[in-house]
Amino acid sequence: MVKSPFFVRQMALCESMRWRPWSGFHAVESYLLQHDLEYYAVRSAAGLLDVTPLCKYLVSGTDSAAFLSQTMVRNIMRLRTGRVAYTCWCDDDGKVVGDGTVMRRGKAEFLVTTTDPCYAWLHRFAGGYAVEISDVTDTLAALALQGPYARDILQAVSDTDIFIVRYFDTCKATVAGCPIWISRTGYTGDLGYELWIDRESALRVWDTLMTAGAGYALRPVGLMALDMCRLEAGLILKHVDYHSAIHAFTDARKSSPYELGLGWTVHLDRGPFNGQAALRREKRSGSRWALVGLDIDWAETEALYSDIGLPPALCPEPWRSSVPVYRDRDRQHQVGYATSGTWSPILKKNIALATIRSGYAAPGARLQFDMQVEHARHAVTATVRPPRFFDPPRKISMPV
Amino acid sequence: MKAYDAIVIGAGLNGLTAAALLARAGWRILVIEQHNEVGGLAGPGILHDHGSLCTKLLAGLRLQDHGLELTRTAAPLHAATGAGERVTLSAEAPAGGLSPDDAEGYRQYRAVCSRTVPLFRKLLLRPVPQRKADFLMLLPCWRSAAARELLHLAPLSAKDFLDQFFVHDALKAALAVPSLQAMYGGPFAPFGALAILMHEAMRGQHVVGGLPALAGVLHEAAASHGVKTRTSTQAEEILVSKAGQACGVRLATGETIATRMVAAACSPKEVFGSLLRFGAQRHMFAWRTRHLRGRGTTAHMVLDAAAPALLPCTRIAPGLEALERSFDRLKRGELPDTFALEIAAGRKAAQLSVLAHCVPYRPKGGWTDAARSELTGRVMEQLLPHLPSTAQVSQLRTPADLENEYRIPGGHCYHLEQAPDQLLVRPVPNFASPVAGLFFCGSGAHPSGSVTCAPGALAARAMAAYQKPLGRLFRNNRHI
Amino acid sequence: MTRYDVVVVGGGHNGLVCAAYLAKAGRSVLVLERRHVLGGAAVSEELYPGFTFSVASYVVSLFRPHIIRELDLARHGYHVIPMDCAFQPLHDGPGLARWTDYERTRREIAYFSRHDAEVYPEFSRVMTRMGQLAKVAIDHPPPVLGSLHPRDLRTMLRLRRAFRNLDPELQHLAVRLFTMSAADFLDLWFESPVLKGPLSASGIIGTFKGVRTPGTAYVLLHHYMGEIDGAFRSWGLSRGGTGSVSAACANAARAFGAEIRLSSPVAQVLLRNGRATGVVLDNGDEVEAKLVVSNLDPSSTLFGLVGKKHLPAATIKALSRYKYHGSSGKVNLALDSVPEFACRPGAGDHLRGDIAIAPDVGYLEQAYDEAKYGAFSRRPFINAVIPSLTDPSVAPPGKHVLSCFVQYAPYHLSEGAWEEQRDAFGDAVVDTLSEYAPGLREKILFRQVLTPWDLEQQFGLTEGNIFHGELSLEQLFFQRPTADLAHYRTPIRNLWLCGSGTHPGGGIMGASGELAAKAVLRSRHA
Ligand SMILES: Cc1cc2nc3c(=O)[nH]c(=O)nc-3n(C[C@H](O)[C@H](O)[C@H](O)COP(=O)(O)OP(=O)(O)OC[C@H]3O[C@@H](n4cnc5c(N)ncnc54)[C@H](O)[C@@H]3O)c2cc1C
Ligand SMILES: Cc1cc2nc3c(=O)[nH]c(=O)nc-3n(C[C@H](O)[C@H](O)[C@H](O)COP(=O)(O)OP(=O)(O)OC[C@H]3O[C@@H](n4cnc5c(N)ncnc54)[C@H](O)[C@@H]3O)c2cc1C
Repeated sequence: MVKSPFFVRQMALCESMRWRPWSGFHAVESYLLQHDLEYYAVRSAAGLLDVTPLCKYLVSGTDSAAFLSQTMVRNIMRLRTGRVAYTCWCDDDGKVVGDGTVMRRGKAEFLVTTTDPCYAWLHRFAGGYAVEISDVTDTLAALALQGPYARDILQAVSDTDIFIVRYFDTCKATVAGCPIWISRTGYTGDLGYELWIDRESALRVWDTLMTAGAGYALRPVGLMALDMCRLEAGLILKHVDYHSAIHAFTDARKSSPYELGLGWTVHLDRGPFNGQAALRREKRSGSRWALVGLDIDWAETEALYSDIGLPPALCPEPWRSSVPVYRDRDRQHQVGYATSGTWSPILKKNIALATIRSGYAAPGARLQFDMQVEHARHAVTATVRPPRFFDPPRKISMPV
Repeated sequence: MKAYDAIVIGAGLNGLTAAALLARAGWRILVIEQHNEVGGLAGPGILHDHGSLCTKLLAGLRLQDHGLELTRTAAPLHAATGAGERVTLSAEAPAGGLSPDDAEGYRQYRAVCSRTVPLFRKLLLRPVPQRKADFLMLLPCWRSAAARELLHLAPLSAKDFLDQFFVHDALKAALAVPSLQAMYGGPFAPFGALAILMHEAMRGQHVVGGLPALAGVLHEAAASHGVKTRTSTQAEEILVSKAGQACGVRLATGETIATRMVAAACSPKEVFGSLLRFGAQRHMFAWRTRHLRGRGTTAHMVLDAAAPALLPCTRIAPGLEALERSFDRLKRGELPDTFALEIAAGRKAAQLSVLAHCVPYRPKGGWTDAARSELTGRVMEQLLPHLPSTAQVSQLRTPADLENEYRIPGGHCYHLEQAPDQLLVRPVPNFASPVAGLFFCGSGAHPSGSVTCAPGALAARAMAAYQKPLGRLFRNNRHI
Repeated sequence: MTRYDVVVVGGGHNGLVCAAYLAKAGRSVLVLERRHVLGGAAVSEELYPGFTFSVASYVVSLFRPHIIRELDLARHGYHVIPMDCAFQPLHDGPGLARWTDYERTRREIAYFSRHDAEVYPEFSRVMTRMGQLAKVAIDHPPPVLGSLHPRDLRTMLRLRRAFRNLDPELQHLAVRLFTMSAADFLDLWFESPVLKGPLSASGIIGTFKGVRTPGTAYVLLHHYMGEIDGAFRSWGLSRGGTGSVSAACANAARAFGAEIRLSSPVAQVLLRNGRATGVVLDNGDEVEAKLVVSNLDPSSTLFGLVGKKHLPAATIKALSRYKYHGSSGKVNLALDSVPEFACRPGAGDHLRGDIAIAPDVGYLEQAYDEAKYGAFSRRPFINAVIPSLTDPSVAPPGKHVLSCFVQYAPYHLSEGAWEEQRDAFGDAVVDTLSEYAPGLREKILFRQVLTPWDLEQQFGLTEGNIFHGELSLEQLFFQRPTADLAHYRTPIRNLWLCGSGTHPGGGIMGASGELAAKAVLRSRHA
């Protein structure tokens, strides 16, 4: 296993000793025995998360924009320098292979970040292009500073004006004498930044942030809290909410961008790109599935518990296992499955992300969610809604 | 200007065949060829074998009217068995100069061929079965004794196969030559028998005047049906419309020509490697085609010999084990000492044409002048006992030269190796590529190999069948 | 004298599985084994005090899971421990270890090629899909070509369904796989010769072919379709050596009522009116039975126990062409301590799996090139395991067993005889290993060298072929061993085959025994 440069600090802070492997790194699941405080830090103060295990590739060369435009569903040619784009990439059948962000750092320099390795995939199409792809996963450390006070903390330690950085913009800055890249991005659906730091400077930046953040109740945050946040924000996760088309065993496990709710990232009308023909066809004829949010009825859940004399039990951790979703209360007609979910402490709702047949996926549709209460299975009403459950204005707003 | 119905890239024999057949059916056809003469590999007299034309598939072209002369009698094959000694093998007549054992072996060998070849030929000279009906039609074939024999023999190595019949090593080596040409492997490699039997299966009628004559006849036939030919014109890119349909060809000069369909008679590796741009092809498909194998191991030489002492159609090969050792060296990128040589009459009177097998595609260090003269020197050494000492190599084409000259990546004579896994899927079943309207009709397409003109003819049929539903534009499709 | 329903000649694991199924179906069964131990090529023997060797076969993966269930083998002592790692020592760098954990493997491969590291799971997925297809083929008797019998049609349909379950690209690949070479097949995915080395080595095991020889891609699949606990392509060590697998089969057979006699070599199959009616032992004893099932390879059975004069000419001709071409040897070492590999010192987990000396494709091809003219490879391919690191029952505490499977050692030497060259061969193996594990020679307490000739002498494997005949396309499936012997029957009425020379072929699978027993039970005479 590889150790992130922050490992020494995390080791000292990780009281719970709960770790999880992530892309070959040790990653903290939660620092505290209960992860709630970490979650609340992100939603009400600020949280600091080590995202070094993200796969990071530097794509450079005169053809890099053209190359990325042809491999990704989004037209990267149109991405301005200093901007970041969220996108996904597809195979010929228009099925999603991976998703991630592309950051244009210069005219001919891009940083691609994603949860799963995609070097080989990119490499496959690089023939004939003047591009160079280098894997900087191990040399480039990354931190996510997320939460309402992220901006203030970052401003306190950096020499640049963070206040003018817009949503999905980037800037260069110096923190504690170390040059870093900052992008206003994140996986929490909140105001937040991601910091891209050379491995050597990594610890210094961490320490500086932690010191400056003390006054803002900054906390190191683990993956458990992150999972809750991303579910509230309706952000999908590879291997959990969808399978990569190149690793899926059967066609049934593959999904298109439209089915995953990523249709907005697809720029169809332009030069050829991977999966274009299939995506055009799908756009014309409609998709079979839709990724939706489910709001699982709390009153019904409570009633089920009280019927057997128990107080309602909240699932203490976000879950990620496939749960059938039915059309009817008798659970005869399955119309889809939920892939992950959580109790949302902010919204006071039991929420889930689900893949539902498109005919049943209209917002407001009432479906039946398969739930185990004590030792028996029941149907609980779940209302379909857009996956973005939590979307505070501060995520994209500019300070006045 | 109205678009062409089809553009054929490459005026080799197969390209011309496809062009002529389609034009006869009323299509407007343009053939483009990078060289200044038509004929492709058959043009400059590289090819020796002109006994495999599949006349049945070409019947509609009435080539006789354009001057084609055919004979049934094949020129007998000679195999050098020692200094100045040789035996003569002929499919029709009893063999001459063989030891009694080998003569009996040869009789049995011919018997095996005549049992299996008709079935094999039937399987090869039709499109690859794909639909259920095709398979059902073939079911009786599979139940026949010939099928069992074929299934059993095909996977054998040339050595195992020929050992069953013959004693004399040089004779075996001479008979193993087709497998060396078709595949990337020595005589010990499995499936050599497949190549040998395939070679036998492809035997057809003989063209008087050789292949350049055939190319001329085909060209004339094509022209008579209105085919336009542009020589010294190189295709640079196959254009694909937004809807994913092949719609034109861009030339090296930058000029673009619109068309409804494209028939590529050049190497499929070239099509995927350089003629199709990104996005025009599917990634899995591109991936698969990138790994199509076409590692050439054959070099061609022209020999100036004042009075050729050798009869044409002679094979000189040192013996199976020696050839296998040569192949071992080739694999490691070294130049072997001995080769399998095929000798035929040259284009001019005082010339011989020599094909040398077991030549590396690119030896370590590349084809430097030293390496080239090393190669010719070694070939001459091997030839010397059979030739007047005044003979001299006046021209050499290594596999790498063939690659450059004819744009065949890898320089394989058949564009792609005839490995069994590339046999039924060369490079795609049934000529149609995943790009709508782009077809393969050259040697790299089914059934490949030899100068049968079958790929061209079968591809023309496939193209016509593809077009049919699109309307009655093409009046005479059924005649193809 | 009792007359048995069935006498099984040979107590290899297939013979024992066959006996168990027949006994389970209520037949009275006698197994006659030539040696003093059971198991044939799946055997454990204490060759040196305190050290138990898996003398021939050494790792298990192909054994059919349904046989374990149907014969309740776990209760009878079947115990296989999956291996976690495949390690390939190299002269430069840390070597390459492939682990069950994907991330760990990715990091290891990335040292050589980032591209290959990421494509590796794609490749694994494809092989698993192919394994699923192959599973359908190996778990059922082969269909008769062109036959319209309902059973054959069912098999064809089943195969067709499995085939259609693959997506088109994989269908395409499945067709090509059968005739490709292992190296060409791996070229479809990988660029690093270091990774392709050990991967392609699976394609040559037990065959006299090189990694670039067409047909080896199938052998690769043959080694990938094993399954332990539902996970395809994982290999495991049998507790107490591979003999324990045979012992479990024997226990099951006995539990169902079969009788097993050791040290009872069969000399001949008794024939009466062209039918098998029993066997004659070397000592002249006769055993009568309604049916005889032979666990021996087809040539030993038909040419040895029956004799050519009783066989139809077509059978003789076809079987004479059946290829054995033994090409493997085995070197078993008892060691004083754990061997240390220079590139990755210490007795870490990387030694607990299989260890391959297959540094790259060129090395393997060179080994083959040397051997194909009739000499053993001076620098051979070696697949070694140290079972004592996982299973302490096979060696005294702190001491170890090193089991090396070696290729190529051609059965037919162009010069000399194996008896004279055995030691030189053993030395070549130890020398090769010592290049990677210096100091190995000093740790050796005992050495056993088995050349193909020894395998023939000791285990009765014709030409020393470990699989009872090469796994090449023309002798597989409905052609194994030959088209007319492919359905476990022989031209001699009441004489059946159940060894690895029948479909689905070699390896500790048990499938030949099981399918033969089921074919026997289906026949009219059972
Ligand atoms: C040395 C050698 C020996 C052989 N010996 C025999 C033999 O003995 N018997 C036998 O039966 N077969 C033999 N063959 C094989 C035989 O030559 C071929 O199978 C057959 O000639 C192929 O014809 P074709 O029309 O398919 O392709 P080709 O003849 O290769 O024609 C393709 C044409 O396309 C042209 N072209 C390629 N790219 C472009 C482009 N981008 N733009 C324009 N034009 C392009 C090329 O210049 C060429 O003229 C031999 C081949 C070689 C090389
Ligand atoms: C060196 C070596 C390594 C191997 N490694 C592996 C491996 O790692 N994994 C794997 O899965 N497979 C391996 N194999 C292959 C596998 O062991 C065999 O394919 C399998 O064990 C064969 O089983 P069988 O029952 O069909 O035949 P056998 O095991 O050959 O059984 C035949 C039996 O018949 C007996 N017999 C012979 N003649 C007579 C006679 N006249 N009378 C009575 N009995 C007789 C023999 O003594 C023997 O017991 C290896 C084989 C060898 C030789």
